[in-house]
Amino acid sequence: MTDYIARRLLVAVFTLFVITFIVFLFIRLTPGDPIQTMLSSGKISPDLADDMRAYYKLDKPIYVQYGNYLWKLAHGDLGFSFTTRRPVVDSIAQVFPNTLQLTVAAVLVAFSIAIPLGILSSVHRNTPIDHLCRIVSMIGISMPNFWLGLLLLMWFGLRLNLLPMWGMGSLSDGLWDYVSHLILPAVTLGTALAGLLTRLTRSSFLDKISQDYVKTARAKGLKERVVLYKHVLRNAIIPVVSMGGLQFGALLGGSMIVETIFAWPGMGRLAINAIQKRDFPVLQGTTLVFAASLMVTLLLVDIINSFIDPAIRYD
Amino acid sequence: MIKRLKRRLSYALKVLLGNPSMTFGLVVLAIFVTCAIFSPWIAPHDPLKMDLTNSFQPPGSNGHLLGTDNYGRDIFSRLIYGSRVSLLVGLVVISISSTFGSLLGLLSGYYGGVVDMVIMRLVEVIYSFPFLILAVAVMAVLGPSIFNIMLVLSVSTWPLYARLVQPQVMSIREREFVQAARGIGAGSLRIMVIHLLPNCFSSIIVTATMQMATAILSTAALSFLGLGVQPPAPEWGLMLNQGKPFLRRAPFMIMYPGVAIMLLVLSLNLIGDGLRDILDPQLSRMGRI
Repeated sequence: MTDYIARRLLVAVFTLFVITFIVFLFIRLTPGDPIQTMLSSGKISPDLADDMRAYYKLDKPIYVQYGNYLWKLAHGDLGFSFTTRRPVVDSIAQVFPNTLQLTVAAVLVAFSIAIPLGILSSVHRNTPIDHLCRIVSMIGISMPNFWLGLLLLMWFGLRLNLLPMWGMGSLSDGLWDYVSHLILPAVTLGTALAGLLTRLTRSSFLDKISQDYVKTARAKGLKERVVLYKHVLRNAIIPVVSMGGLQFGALLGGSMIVETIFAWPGMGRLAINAIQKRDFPVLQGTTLVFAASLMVTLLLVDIINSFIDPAIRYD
Repeated sequence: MIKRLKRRLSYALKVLLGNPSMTFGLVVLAIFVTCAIFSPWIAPHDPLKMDLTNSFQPPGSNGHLLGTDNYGRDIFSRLIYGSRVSLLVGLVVISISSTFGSLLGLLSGYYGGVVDMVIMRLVEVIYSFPFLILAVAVMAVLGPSIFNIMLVLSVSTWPLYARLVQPQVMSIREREFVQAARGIGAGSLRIMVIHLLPNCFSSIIVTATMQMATAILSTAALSFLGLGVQPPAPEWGLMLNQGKPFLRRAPFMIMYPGVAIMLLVLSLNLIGDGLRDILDPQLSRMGRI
């Protein structure tokens, strides 16, 4: 057990290194010198340009620059934004919780749709109810979230005027203000995951429902409801939950799109804005934090899985 | 000969009739492919021709079946031409990534040891990168173009195939037919390509079909964010992006490109599902997701 976790941790650290290297290369790969570009467009003064060159050690060989980058990173320094001059860490720390709230809400939406639909589908296997559930989940998977977001915006925001169209609510303005701002983005982000998890719940349920312990439970004379929720659900839910964790990366990518559509002040919007303004330190920082949070999630899913299912440890 | 062909055809027909959702997928895909190949003949208007006096025409007016956009361009014609971009990117991406990924998976599974470790670590690294975010960052640095989209999508999706092929190769590399081949003097390359790889084809095809759907969705997403295909090219994600400011005035501008993306992606997913049932009963039993 400890071996497995140690090995996974080692891989995670190695991955993080590769990620920092790829992210570090971003600025080097850009054609031209971004600082020179800003200088000639009059965005920064020559003094500041010199400071920036010294800060990023741009006059030194590339491995010194990378070492410098890692050293700063290890001290929690992600550099300064080219446009706002604020430390990148501060900007990210400010918006990271917003993205976290959005993704958690999306996961909640996904599970609360997927589990009932998946159970319904498997219990009524090969009936019209099952077919309908499968069609709905397939459409959920195939629907581009940026289109769904625009449709929801149009119907619930513009036409019906039921829900706010953009921005984030605040709890200090009441619970409804907070929740109402969250509904459309969370549904947009969670729909594809809901489709995927519905299919997985259905197959996992069908798999478990034919197991011997379920037959035993039925033979004992337990009510069908008890059998389903107490015996089947508990076991069938495990792969669904771990798939939810594995899909976290897709959610992060999706948050980029959803935050852009609904002007949600999160990491995705920060990254997209940074791209538009060619603000590379911010883009580097957000990419790194995105990758690191996905890595941590995958690691947690793996470790939790290895506790639940000992067979995984010996792969 | 003819008898055998007939038997195969009737078998294929039976499979299709028994799987209406796959048939639906195939029909929809066939329509899109036809549109892509014969765009100049099917599209009633030039997809790039602007006519500002004719902008925001609602569907069905002035000979514009699905209306016109803010520049007065015919939406139906743009949709028809847009299928070219999506299908092309999808096809190129799955060709590159499945070839590259399968070969690396093959090497990894066949040789094991250090080769396996290096390749599989690399797979893990790329696998744990949030793919759309990587794509967005790389597009921002390299600059938006169709070529770069194909590059980014191929680089970030090959690990899927390597992960798929590696365990299959591992499980069959010591089987009798491989040993027999080795016994009559077949070299490693021959064993890998002629004897081992074909055993993985069915799962590769299933995955590639589903991945084509993902590639098409990602292309549209990148274009929607302004980091993919650039204006004035007719591309579905870009059309949605351009329709966004006119949600109130011209909702049809975002309606049809979205339907097109969804139908194409849906058709590929349905075909992939159907193929899995037919080609890969084991995979389909394990997890019909």
